[in-house]
Amino acid sequence: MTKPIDVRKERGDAMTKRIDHTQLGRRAFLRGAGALAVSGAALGLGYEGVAPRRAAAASAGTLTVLMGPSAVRPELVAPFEEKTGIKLNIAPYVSPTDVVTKLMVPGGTRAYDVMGGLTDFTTPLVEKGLLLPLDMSKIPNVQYLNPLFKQDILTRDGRPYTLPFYWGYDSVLFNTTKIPENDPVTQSWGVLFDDRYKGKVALRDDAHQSILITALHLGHRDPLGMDRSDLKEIIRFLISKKSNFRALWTGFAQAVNLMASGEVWAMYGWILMRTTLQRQGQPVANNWPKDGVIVWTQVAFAPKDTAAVPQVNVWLNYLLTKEYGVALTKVNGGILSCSRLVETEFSKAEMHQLGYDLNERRLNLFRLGLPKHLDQWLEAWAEFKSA
Amino acid sequence: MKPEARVSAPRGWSPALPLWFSMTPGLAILAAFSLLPLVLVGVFTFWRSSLAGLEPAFTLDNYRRFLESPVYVRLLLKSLRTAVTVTSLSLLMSYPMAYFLARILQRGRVIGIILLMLPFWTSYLVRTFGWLPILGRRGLLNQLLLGLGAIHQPLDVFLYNEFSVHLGLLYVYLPFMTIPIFLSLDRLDQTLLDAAADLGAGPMTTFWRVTVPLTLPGILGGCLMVFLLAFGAYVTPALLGGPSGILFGNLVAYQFGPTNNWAFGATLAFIMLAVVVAVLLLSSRWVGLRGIFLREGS
Amino acid sequence: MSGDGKVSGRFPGWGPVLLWGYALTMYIFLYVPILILGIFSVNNSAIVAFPLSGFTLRWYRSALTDPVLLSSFRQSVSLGIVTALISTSAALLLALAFRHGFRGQGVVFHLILVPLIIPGIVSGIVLLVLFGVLGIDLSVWRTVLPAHITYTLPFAFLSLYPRIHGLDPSLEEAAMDLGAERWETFRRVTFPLIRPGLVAAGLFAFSLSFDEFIRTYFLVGTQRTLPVHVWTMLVETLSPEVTALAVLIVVISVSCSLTGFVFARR
Repeated sequence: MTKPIDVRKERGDAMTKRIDHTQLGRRAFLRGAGALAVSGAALGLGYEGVAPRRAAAASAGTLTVLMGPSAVRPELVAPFEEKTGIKLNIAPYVSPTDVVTKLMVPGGTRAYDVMGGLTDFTTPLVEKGLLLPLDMSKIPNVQYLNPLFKQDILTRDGRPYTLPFYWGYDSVLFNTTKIPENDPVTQSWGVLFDDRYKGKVALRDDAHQSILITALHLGHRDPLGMDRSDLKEIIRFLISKKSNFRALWTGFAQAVNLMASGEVWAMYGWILMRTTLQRQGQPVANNWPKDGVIVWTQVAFAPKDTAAVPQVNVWLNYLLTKEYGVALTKVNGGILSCSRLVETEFSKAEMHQLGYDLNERRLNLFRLGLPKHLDQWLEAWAEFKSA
Repeated sequence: MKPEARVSAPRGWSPALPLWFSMTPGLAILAAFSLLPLVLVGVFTFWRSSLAGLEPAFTLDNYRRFLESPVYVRLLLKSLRTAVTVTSLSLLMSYPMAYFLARILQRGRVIGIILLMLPFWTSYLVRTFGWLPILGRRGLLNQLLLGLGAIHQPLDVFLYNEFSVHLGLLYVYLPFMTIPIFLSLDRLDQTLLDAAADLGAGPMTTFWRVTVPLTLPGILGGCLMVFLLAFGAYVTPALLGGPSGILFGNLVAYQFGPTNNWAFGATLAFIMLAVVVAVLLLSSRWVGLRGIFLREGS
Repeated sequence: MSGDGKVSGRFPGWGPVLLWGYALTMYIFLYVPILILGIFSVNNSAIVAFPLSGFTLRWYRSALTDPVLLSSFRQSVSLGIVTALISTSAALLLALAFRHGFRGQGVVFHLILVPLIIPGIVSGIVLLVLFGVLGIDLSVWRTVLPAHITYTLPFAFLSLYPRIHGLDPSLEEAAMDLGAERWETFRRVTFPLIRPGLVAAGLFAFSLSFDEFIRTYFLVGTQRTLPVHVWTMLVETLSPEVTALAVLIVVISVSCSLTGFVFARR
C-alpha cells in the first residue's frame, strides 16, 4: 500500500513523482539532482567572491543601525562609509513603536548599536536604563544643535541619553489631479473621511497613528489620554467610514505603490513618500492639516550593551554635520535637520517650502507621543479591522 | 491505527544501530524545540506581562480578556470560516485537476506535473504580491473586462477584500491539495473500477461509490494541510486584505509587536493551537492520522 | 456507458474534453501572476503597476549586484543546507528506529507530527518565547536554525519512513549470513538502499527551509534570510528588483529540474 515516498509538499513531490513515473534510473537522477544542489550551494557561497565585503570597512568596524528610512537612505550613508570606513548594517525599520519592541526583545540591547526613535517614545527606554549614556565631548557637533531641540536631549541623573538630529511632520498626501487643491477639505485630516473620495483613501495599518489622526479630526482635546469610552467613539466613527478606505499600508513601499498605481487618491503619509512620488512624476502634494499637524523629533540613541562605542560616537556626530543635514533635507524634501549649520544653505523661500517656518504659520501643531493605554488602542484597531 | 502490527523485526536479524542511538537525536530535537516551548507557552498563559517580558503569576486574566472583548472570538471564527472556505474551494478545484493528471493525461504526465509545480518554486511572498497588478483598479482583470466591453468603469471589487484574501490563499496552497489527491488517484487499482463497471455501475456511480471513497486519505490529507496553512495565514491578509485584512494569526503577531504583551500573545497562540488539535481529532475519526500522513489503510 | 471495458470508471466521451479544458484554465490561473511578475521585471518604472513604461534590464542588474540581497541569498542557501543535513539525518535515524518494533511507537509517531500541525505563526511565537525566557539572542544560527530543523523534521521523516519500512530484511539477513558485521551490513547493504530517498528528503527539507518566512521573521533578529529580505523589499523599501528576483528563482529552479530530467533520461 505504501509508495516509496510519501508526499507532503511541492518540490519534493514533483521530484519524487517524476522519478516514480518515468521509471528511470532513479539513482542516476538523484545523483544528478544531488550534484546540482551541491553546485547550486557552491554557487551561492561563491557569491562571496563577487560581492566582497569591504575589507577596509571591516577594520574600522560595523554598526547595526535601526533608524527611519529617511535617515539612512543610501545617498546619506555612502559618504559616511567612505569617509570613516565604518560600515552600516541597516536593519528593516517598521514604526516608532516597533523600535521600542525590538529593544525590549531578549538580547535587544545587544543586537543594535544605534537606533532612531521619537523623543516621547524614547522616554521610557531612558527611564528603564536600557540606553547608553552619551559622552557629548565625543560628539562635538552638538554645539550646533538648534536650541529649539535642547529639550529633546533626554537626561537621567544629569546624563544625556539621546541626540536629536532631525524633525518633521506627517500629513495627508493627495493626488492633485483627482482632488482639487483649492477644496478647503484638503487642508485638514477631513479629506481622509470625506465621502466624495469614498474607496479612494488609505490609512496606515497602525493603531497608534490612525486612531490619533481620527481623534484630531474629531476635535478630541487630549487624544493621547483617551480612555475606553473615548476610544469606542473613535472606532464607531472609523467603522462608519470603513467603506471609504481602500487599503491600509504597513510600509513605505506599499504606501508609495498605492498612490502611484491609482488605487488611492489620498492617504496618511510621510514627506519622504511625497518626494518619492513627485520624483516618479506623480501629481502629489501634502497638506498642513488645520485640525493638527503631527510633528515629531527624531532622536538617535545607543542601546546600553553596544560593543562599538567609539564608532557609535562617530556616527552620532556625523548626524549633526552640515554635509549630512543638507543632504538629508534635500533628499527628503521636507525632513529637516536639527543642526543650525544647515540654515545658511537655503534661501528664505526654500525654507518656507521645506517647512522650516512651521512654527510661525500659526498652525495647530500636535507633538506625536505615546498613548496612555496603547493596549486598548490596539484592541480598538483590531475591532475596526474585523468589523 | 497503532503501527505495532505493521513493523516487526525480522527473525535472526536486528537493525545495525541500537534503538537508543536512533531515537536520541530526533527525540531530543523534538523535546527541546517542539514540546518544551508548547509546555512553557501553556504555563505562560497564566502569567502576567510586564514591560520586562513575563512575570510569574497564576491568573486567568488573559483568558478573561479573550472572552470579554468580542473582537477575539470574532476573529477566531473569521479565521476558521476563511480556512474552511479556502479548503473546500481548493478541494473543488483540485480534484478535477488531479483526476486529469492521474487518469486522463497519458503521455506528458511528467510535464503536466512539472507545469503544476513550477509556479510554486518561487517565493510565496512574491507570488502573493503578483496579484496586486492583476486585481487592482488599473489591473489586468479590469483592463480585460473594459476591453471586452463587459464593464464601463473599472471595478474595485477584486482587491482589498475577503475575495482577494481567499483567492490569494487558494493560489499559494493549491498544490498541497492537488498532489495528495493525485497520488491516491494514481495508486487506484484499475481492476476495482473495471469490476464496478462489470457489475453494471455507471461512470458516475463508480466515481462516487468507488473512486472517491478510495481516494479519501488523499482528500483528507490535502484538506488538513490546506486548512492548517490557511488557518495560520499572516502574509496574505496583510498584503491583499485591505481595511479588513486581519485574521487571528495577525492578532497573535500584534501581541509580540507593538503591544509587547507576551502573556496574552501566548494565550492567543495556545487557543489557536487548541482549535487545530480539535480539528485534527475530528478528522482522525474518519481516517487515522497515520492513514492521512502515510496514506495507509483506506 | 457502452460497457466498453476501456472506459470503465471514467467519465463518458465528453468527460475528458471537459477536463482538458478545465486543466488548461487551471494552468492559466497558475501562470498569470508569474507572467505578470515577468512583465514588471523588465518594466522601466519603480512602481509595480499599470500602465507600463518601457523596457529595461536594470532591475536584473541591480538584483544581481545588490550586496544585501546577495548576502541574504547566501544566508538562506547555507541555512537550507545545514537544516537539510541535520533534519534528514535525525529523520533517518528515527525512521530506522521504527524497524525495532518498540513499545510506544504510536506516541513517538504522533510526537514527530507535532511540528507539522502547528500553524507557522504559532510555532514562530512559541520559539520566540522559549528563546526569550532562556535569554538566547536572536540570530540565524542560534534561533532560526533550530526552528527550521524542527519544522522540516516531520516532512523528512514522512518521506523516508515508507521507504525504510518497505525495505526487504532478507537482503540484510543474507549479508549477515555471509558473515558481515551489523555495522558493515548497514553501511554496505542498508544505506545504499535508502540513499536515493535520503537525497530526495534532503532536497525537500532544503526547499522548505529556503522559502520559510513566518517562523524566521519572528526569530531572525537583525539578520536577513532571503524571504525576510523579500518581505522588506515588498513592504518597506521600494524595490522593483523583487520581480526580477522572482523570475531568477524560477529560472534557477527550472534549469535545475530540467538538468535533473536530462540526467535521469540518460
